[in-house]
Amino acid sequence: MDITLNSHDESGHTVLEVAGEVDVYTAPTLRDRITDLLDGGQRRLVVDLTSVEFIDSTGLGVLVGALNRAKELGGTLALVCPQERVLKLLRITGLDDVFAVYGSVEEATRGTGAGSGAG
Amino acid sequence: MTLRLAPRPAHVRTARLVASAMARRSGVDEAVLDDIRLAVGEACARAVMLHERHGITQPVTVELADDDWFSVTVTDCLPQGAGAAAEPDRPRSVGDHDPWADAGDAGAAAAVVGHGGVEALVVPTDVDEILHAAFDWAEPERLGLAVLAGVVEDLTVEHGEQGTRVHMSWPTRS
Repeated sequence: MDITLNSHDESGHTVLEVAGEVDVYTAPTLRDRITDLLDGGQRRLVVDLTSVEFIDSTGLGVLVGALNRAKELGGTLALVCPQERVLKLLRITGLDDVFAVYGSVEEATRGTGAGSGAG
Repeated sequence: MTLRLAPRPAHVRTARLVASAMARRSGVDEAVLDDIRLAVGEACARAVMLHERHGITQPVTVELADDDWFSVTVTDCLPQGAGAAAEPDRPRSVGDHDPWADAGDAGAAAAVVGHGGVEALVVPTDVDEILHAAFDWAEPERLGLAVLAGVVEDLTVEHGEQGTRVHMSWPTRS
């Protein structure tokens, strides 16, 4: 399997670091891990794409589905994406308007619970 | 060179690697190697997913050639109606058109112009429609074609009774 997933909690968020390649073969693994996190009650997800060497529309499709699922559960899902190559892909598909995209995990996890929950 | 990929997701990466290696050797500009890897991956993934969804066990065909252009043609075996040549050839390339530009006009069509006619490509522009694709294998196909249209200037998509041919090419330094 050419994808590596590691998650940890940081500043009230669950950060999922994705490394390697996200394509039609590995995307289900990403999908399953995000599903597990959401099913496990995690509601503030940050998907860190910093170490992604390749991602295509199947990977984006999983992220879109994950965003949809998170929203249905009253949660949030943000992307960390410093690589221009991946940012270009988000722009081509118009998904840069759909996702909250940050340049670093630190930026993505700044501020907890803004706009949702009773606090 | 012709690759015949057994229609399994694990093999799409092989096609990307072969195409990238061949493109590099053929003298394609370094700046577009990433685009080639992405485009070949998208076209092959699309074909493999179609075969899987329809229970087609025959391989997906990937033809690679490097003459004055580096070209890749991905052919699947899913019969479709012949492509609609609904409009006369337009003197602009796919790269000029942003399929996602028509904000607020759901279902705007993006034309894929190539040699031999226009293939209308309906791309979702409504954010809610995009979001409700969820984890559906069927929806990535539309995203995949949008990506192809965005990174391949010389792109032809021809639907036929034998299947669909996705032809892509890039200039080589020579």
